[in-house]
Amino acid sequence: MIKLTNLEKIYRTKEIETVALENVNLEVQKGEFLSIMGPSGCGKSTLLNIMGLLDSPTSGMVEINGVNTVNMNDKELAAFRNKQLGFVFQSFHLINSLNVLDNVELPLLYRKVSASERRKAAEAVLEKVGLSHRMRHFPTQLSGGQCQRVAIARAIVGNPYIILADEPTGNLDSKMGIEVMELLHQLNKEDGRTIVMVTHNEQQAQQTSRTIRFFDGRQVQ
Amino acid sequence: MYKQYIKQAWQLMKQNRFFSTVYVIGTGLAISMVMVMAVVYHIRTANIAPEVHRDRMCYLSSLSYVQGNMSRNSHSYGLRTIKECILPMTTPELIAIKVGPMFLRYIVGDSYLQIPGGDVSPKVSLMATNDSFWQIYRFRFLVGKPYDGADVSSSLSRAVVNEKTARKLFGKTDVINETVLLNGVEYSVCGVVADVSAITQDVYADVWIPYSSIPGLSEVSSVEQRSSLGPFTVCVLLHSPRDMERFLEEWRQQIKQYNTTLADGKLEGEEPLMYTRNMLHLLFMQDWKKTSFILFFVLLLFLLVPALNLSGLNMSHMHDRIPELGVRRAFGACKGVLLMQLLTENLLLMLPGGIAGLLFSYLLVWLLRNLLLGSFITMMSGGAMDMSLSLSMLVNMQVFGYAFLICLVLNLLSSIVPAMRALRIHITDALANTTN
Repeated sequence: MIKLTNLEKIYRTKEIETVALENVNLEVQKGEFLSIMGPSGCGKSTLLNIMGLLDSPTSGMVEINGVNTVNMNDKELAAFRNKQLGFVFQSFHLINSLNVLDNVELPLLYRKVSASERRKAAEAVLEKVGLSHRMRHFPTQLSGGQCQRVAIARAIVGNPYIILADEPTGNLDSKMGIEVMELLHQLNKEDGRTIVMVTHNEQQAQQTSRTIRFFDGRQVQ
Repeated sequence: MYKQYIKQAWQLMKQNRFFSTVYVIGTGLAISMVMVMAVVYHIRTANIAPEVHRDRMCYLSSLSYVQGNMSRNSHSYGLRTIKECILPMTTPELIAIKVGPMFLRYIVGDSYLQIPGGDVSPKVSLMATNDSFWQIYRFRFLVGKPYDGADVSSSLSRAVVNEKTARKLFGKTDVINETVLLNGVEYSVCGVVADVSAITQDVYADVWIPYSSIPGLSEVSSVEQRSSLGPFTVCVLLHSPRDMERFLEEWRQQIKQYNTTLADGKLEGEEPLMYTRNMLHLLFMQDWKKTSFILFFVLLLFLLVPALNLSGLNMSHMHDRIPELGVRRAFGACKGVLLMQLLTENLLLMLPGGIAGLLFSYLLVWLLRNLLLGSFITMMSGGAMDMSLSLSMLVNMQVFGYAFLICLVLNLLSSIVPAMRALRIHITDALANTTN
């Protein structure tokens, strides 16, 4: 599903050069729930961003669903992300000026999907994450756990093959964290979605099908 | 998609009330300056009753009589030139001639109107015309009708008066066939028209009479120069603005032909221009290209200064939205789509400002109408000037079109740079909002 080959990411400024990722080779299988662990600054979020085509590697190849994405332009990358990938961020990144329903519809807005179909799909996924009663609310009117569930609904509304979650429980208390993790496991098991999750939580990582660890930009396990 | 832009723009306006208020006021004030120009331009150039054919009109008003290399006299058209050279032309649909209030003051002095034996004798603004004048310009007759060709040919003393004058003299408007004294000469009222604003300066007067009823105007002098030059302005109505070139060609031929009949000198005319060009030419005293350039430059300056200010506001507003742009790009929006979204949202925010600006510009035009819309000619016309503005002069699709266009240009000028700068930020930086 995801294949990273000889991946390298170097941040260069006038004075210094920082190696964020060094010679990463990784394959994520279809239906897998992979967790990435490591100390802060080890490159795990950078790796997730590159997998999600939000960032480009300095060298190496990123293949998703058999497609080499390295030479894609902005428009192609946007279309690819829209159809194949869903994102869940630590700080939710919901748009405060849109209500829950409009936030969830967002990925479909950039496809040629009619308003009624968008609405129907958004309502269905909100039902799935248990927030159908909060559709007209604005993000500022929701709890953190509810916000993250909205973010998950947004990530899956377009039926992407892969969900990339960057510390999805990082801003939640333990109870809400458990709820969100249960939801992610449900999406992985019942819908067969491939999930790659960055986490600091050892317990959550143990619940996933595989864990890899990073240190100083290198995969150490 | 646009429905969501509208919804979001509305939410943003509600959520950032202070920004929205400042933005709407800023836009309104900025637009009002340009809108004043646009409204004045519209009033000056659009087809406004009674001047309902401005787009097809051209005026012949300047002619020189040249004798040898030394002597050159410039004036308007004389009756002989009009009769022999202008009236036989075939390209125009109609040709009217008139002597405006300012020239008439030189010929007959100040004009006073009174009822025989009456005490009231108001000073009036007088215009002398032929019968075609009433066919070209659309006056609203309250009672009666204009004088016709037979009246003009017979030099009958007929008069059309405006409502204000009729009421002043008779206390009513139903005054057909009543006799009035114009500078002591008896005239019979044949029609009463609704008052016209001095803003329509080519037709503005209180009283209109056949030019032939004034002895000094109807006689053709035996002196070549006096008969060729005179006080007349020729108002030409073309079938279409596209006929202008053909009309010019015919006009040149006619002048050339006329010159062969002159013994002592020759006529050289300033080439006539279509109404709008002529109006701008008179205003700026420059040729069409220079005038267009000046207008464009002034308009750009009027737009650029507020655009730079609004651009600063947009820049700070856009900064707050950088994470949102990152999210949208992560979920599949490309830069082009987001640029369109930002411009659309900004335009939606600008439209209330546009409406406020338009209303403010109406107020400014109304308050400063004498300064903005008056002219030397109307000021010299005698009588009390009526600079009233009708609703149709201000509220119409063309002015709304100008307002929307100005909003659109101002929107582009003020938001495209901030939007593009925000979109240049890398997605990961936008999501982390590490833009400082």
